[in-house]
Amino acid sequence: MPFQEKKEEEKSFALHFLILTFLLIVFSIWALWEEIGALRPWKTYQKLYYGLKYERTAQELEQARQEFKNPQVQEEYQKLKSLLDKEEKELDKPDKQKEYKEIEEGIKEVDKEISGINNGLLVARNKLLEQEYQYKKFRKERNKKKIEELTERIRILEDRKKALVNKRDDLKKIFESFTLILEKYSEKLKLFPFSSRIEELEKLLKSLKKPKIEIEQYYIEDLNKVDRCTSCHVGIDNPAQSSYPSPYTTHPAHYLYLENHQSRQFGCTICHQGQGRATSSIDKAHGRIEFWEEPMYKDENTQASCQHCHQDIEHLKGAETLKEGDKILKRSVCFGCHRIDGYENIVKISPPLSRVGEKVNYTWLVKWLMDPSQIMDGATMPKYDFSEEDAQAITDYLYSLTQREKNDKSAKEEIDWNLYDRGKIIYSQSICSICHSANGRGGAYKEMYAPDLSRVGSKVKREWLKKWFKNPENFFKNARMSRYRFTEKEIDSLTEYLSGEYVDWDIEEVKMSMPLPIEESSIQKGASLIKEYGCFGCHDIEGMRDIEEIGPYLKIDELEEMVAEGLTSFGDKHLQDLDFGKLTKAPKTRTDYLRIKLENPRAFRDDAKMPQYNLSEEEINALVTLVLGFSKEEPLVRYRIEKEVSDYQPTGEFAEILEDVKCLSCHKIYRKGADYAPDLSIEGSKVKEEWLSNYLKSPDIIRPMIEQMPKFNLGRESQMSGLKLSKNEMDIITDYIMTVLVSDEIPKNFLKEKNISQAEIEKGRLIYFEKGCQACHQIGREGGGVGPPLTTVGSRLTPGYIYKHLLNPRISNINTVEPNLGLSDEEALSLMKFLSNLQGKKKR
Amino acid sequence: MENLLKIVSKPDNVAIIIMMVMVGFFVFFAFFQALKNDRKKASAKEEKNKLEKEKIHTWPYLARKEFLVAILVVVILLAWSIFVDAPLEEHSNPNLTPNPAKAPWYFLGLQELLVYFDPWIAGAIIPLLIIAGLMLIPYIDINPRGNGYFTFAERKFEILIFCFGFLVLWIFLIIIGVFMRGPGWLWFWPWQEWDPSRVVAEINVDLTQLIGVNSRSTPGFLIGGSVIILYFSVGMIMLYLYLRKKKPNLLHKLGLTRYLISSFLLWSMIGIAIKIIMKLTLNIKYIWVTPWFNI
Repeated sequence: MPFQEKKEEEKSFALHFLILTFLLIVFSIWALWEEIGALRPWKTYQKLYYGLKYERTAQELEQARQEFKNPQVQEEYQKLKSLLDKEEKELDKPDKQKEYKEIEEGIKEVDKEISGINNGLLVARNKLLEQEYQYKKFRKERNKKKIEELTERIRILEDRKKALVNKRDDLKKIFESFTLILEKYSEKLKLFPFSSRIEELEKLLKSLKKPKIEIEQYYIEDLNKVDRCTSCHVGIDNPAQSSYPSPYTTHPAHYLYLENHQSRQFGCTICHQGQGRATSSIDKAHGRIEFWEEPMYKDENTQASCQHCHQDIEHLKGAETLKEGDKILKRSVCFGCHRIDGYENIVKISPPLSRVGEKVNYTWLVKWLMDPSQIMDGATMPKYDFSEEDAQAITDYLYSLTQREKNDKSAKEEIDWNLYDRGKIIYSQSICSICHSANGRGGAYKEMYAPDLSRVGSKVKREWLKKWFKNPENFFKNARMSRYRFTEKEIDSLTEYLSGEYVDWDIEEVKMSMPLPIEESSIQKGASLIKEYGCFGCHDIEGMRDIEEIGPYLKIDELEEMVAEGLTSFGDKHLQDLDFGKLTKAPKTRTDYLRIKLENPRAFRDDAKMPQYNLSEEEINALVTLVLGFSKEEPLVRYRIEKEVSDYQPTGEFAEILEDVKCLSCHKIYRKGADYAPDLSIEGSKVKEEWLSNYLKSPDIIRPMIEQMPKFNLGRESQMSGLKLSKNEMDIITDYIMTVLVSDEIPKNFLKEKNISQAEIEKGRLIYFEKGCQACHQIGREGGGVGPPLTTVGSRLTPGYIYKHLLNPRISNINTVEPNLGLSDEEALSLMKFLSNLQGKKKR
Repeated sequence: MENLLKIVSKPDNVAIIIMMVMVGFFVFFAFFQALKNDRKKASAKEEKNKLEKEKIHTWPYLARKEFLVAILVVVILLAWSIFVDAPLEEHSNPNLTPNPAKAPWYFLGLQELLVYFDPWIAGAIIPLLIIAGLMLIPYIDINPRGNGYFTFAERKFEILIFCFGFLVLWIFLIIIGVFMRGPGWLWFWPWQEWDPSRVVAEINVDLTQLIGVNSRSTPGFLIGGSVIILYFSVGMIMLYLYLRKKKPNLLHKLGLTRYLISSFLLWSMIGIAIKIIMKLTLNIKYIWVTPWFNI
């Protein structure tokens, strides 16, 4: 036989068996360990949490016991207890007990009687119904008689019942008086700070000894969301846990976010994103894994979610980053190229360019197109990568709309110093610097986006500037600048000042000395560049208007096709729809996409058309936050918070003035307008007529700190001074405000007749200092500078308004920082009298 | 080649690699043992008794080995489940079907048949034939030899049929489905990149169109039908005549019913292979077009 092997029967497999069994046991245990521990990290977190809580509760208990042991507390406690004991014993005495029982019996007795009568009443009423029916049907006298009988009977029964009920109530009162004191004491004892607390803590401690380690979850049924975040973040919605370490520490700004969004009802991922169901690792739960499209938002980016339900973010607290993003988006006119629903009706700040040839110098415009931020601080126009040739071509096209040749007007070298000085005064009297900055000063009202004037003399042509002062709307229909009603002479002076003071000598040097003809080929090239980059998305340009005016939808589609993709539903976009182009290794999330795109618009593709915006890190973050929340998905109705739309329409001559002076560029009336200056919705009830007409004539300063009023203007004229309203116009405004902009809630002729006694004023003064009003307000020269000075408040505000305002400071401005002091009516009245008496020195 | 490595190393495809290795190994092993056995048998015909003596009992000698293997398999599965997570992909997106959309690997052979046949044939008739055929094996297999030992010589026909049916029409089609079929279910060689935008200019024709007859016309219908019927009838008759001449004994043992069933199954199996070849080489879509079904 060639077989060398052992016979099968003689082989032994013991060693194989041993090794395999060993391996089987090892892997079984390994699998079990994975299943119980490694894949359930929340168990560890919960154990740590309960350990920590146990420790802290034990500490608290110890402290409570110590405090309870305090002899003073003990004394009080024992006193109360002995009183209670005494009362109890008193009640336990046989004669008391007998009395007590008797009354109890009495009540039962009366109750029995009442129920008997109730029964009788029921029967009688039913019979009455029957008889009424019979009578209606057959009209028999017999029935009528019976009805009368029954009615009488019911009346008697009811009287008897009433008497019995009264009797029972009396008895009950006596009955309760027995235990009244007893209850009072035991109630007091319960309120006693330490005894019941100790019991509570002991109970809690006991339950913490063997805590239940289990997955906790919020199930939001109608959203089909399951959020298990609280399995690790145990008690994150408990405001008492603010001193706990992460992940147990209380949700930041708990009072703002969780108080208004109960976690049981909203869960976590509805705002934060992430993978709410995942429990097997930290990265998975926070959604930081491949293919999970919604990783948890970082920090402020979470505010992106606010927009899903809150349609009105302007007045939303806790959405500051979002609001900032909204401002940047409006300032950058993103919606000029990208279609964004909800922004269709926002007025674009970009000026029309059809007549720009009359406005700016050729050389300046070329430089501007090449890099706007180089020649103007805070330019809102982004930088396109135009070569000098391209910039010239575009400028040629724009110039060709109004004239045949390109030309520069150099800044005047001979300055009429007389006019110049007068212009300087007008410039400061009109407080141009509230909106416009120049040489690094001014421009406090940032949302106005008024251009910087540092080098305006080299930018615009003098003739144009004069026309602009005369009426800005002639040039730019949506201009926000007021028409100041300057005289010719004032306009000349102001022009002299601006073009003499603010000159860019670099540009002056390269300006053309004489006009040159515009080449036709260059115009053609400019037109195609404008079409390619979609300048008409933001600016109104003659010759490109038909592109925009094909019709609302066609226009937008065409724009999108030509210029940029819509952003309305960016937040719904799938990751695979985002083209990262050459950045194959970039982290692939929507947040990263936006951030990279805004930092460098050409990061993904070299031929991208989007220009470079000069945005800081924070600004980019704010804008990213806003755009991340753009979604077409409709939130459930119960979550939706609609935007309140203002249907306020000013009427009559007042409307014309409002339009002309552009009051709503700073003020707000019934939710229309801006937030910079006070809301005027109830101004008529707020201020006194006399003060108002004086103010319009020569505005006082009310809030120097916030408005950043220039010092030299104090007392004489103020920010509204430039609007030289004719007497008639002022009357119109005063009349309108006093009759239309009033609130029913504010009493009109409050405290008109009565003379205020010195004692009452003194009482009010005491309250004023007692409540600490002087910390923020000034009277005379004393007090803080946060709120407006109150030195002459009595001549400004109506007593009715002061009174209501003291009771509720948010009556006219919901965002005011003034605290609600919770004054009683009486206190408010006294304080109001004190304030109303602050009339200032009667002079003038 | 990088492309192939990517496909091979996908966690989904690990099972297929394992299957390929295992099938290859066991086929080799079975044939090796069978040929060895056959040779031994041929040389030791007179020592038949001795061979009989080499037999041993299943219990415990086979069972204990099977038990050890069972433990090993459990250990491997445990380790696999610990080290490799289920290969989840992105959220399903109704607007975006994956390309290529593939069935589970063990059904990819059937899916591959969809290229060659109408869905109701590839997905219903052929699987039905396979199941019915497998169920019929005990009734049509009249060769009692080959139990408990490796042999090829004693069961040449049966083993060749198995190799053809299982290795070619099942395993091989799975391998094609996994590694050769890329986006658009187009044929990609292992060295080709799977390009989702690839276009192939192929025009399917019906058999009769090759000779210029419209397959949807009456003559086309008649020609196509006669091709199918002729294929089966001629094949079955020729085989019958061949067996009567060469192996009358076998035919006698088999009987007419058994012969008809097994020869029908055999020609169906070969027919599928023929259709596959025709589709791949001549782009034949249908042989026989009828208003009710197309083959």
